[in-house]
Amino acid sequence: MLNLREWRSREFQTHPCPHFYVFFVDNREHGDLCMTAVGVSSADFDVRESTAENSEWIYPEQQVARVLVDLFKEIPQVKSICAQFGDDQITVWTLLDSYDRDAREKVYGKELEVCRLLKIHNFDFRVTSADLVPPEDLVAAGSREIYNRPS
Amino acid sequence: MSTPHTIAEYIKQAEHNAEFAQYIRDKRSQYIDWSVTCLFYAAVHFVNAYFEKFGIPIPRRHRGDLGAPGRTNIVQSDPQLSAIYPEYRHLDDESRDARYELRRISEGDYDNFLRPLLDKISNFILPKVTNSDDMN
Repeated sequence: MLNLREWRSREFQTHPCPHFYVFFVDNREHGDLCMTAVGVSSADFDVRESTAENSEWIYPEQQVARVLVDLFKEIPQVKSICAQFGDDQITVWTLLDSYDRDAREKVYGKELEVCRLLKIHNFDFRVTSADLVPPEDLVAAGSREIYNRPS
Repeated sequence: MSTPHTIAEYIKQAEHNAEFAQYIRDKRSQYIDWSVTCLFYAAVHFVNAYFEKFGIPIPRRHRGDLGAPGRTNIVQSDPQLSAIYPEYRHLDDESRDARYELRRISEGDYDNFLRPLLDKISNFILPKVTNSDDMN
């Protein structure tokens, strides 16, 4: 079971962004993490300010990134994960160390798991290999590399 | 939301696209990279047939947003369709690799991996959407 941090919402209310995610634990669903149907974009503010592990609270997209990384990195062929948090869509690139169809299938299973866990279905998932799409290219195009497997 | 097409029309278009994929593979193999895109768009129309059958509004986009899920998002979240999510995603990713990343596919890829993906999708969906009333 993923270790999910509790949310504190007051910081979001004073932020100038017009939309923000709100997470809550739904006890009707066995304590699953749930999310409201509005979101905020990382383009609107700098999320890197509160990345410290001992930070009292974290931005919602950092929580999403943590869930993505925790689940996808379980697949040994996953070399890099890049994500772009848009206003109303989250694009996730999972890059494998080779063109491995068995590993792709495992990633697709994890995609379903992510959606079940977060109760959101507005992801644009993309799986390919790092030799076809280098993570540097995605970062240059506006994504953040949220995981890179140490070699 | 009603659509201008019937279940039979979506199935016919899916089969049309699958036939074209097979034609490329058999007769024009120098263009075999496009066969996987044809297979993906065959899968799209099989899924559209399912949506039409069960009254699910047919999205205009593959991937949606918070207000309007796309086709792939619905395949992901529908309790029945999620069974074919891996096959659908394989065709989605393989076709994007072929179109945008210039990934080469072989006749062996088509015969042994890609075409069977579409067959699994059609074998899953057709029994659920076809009956004499719908097909008339």
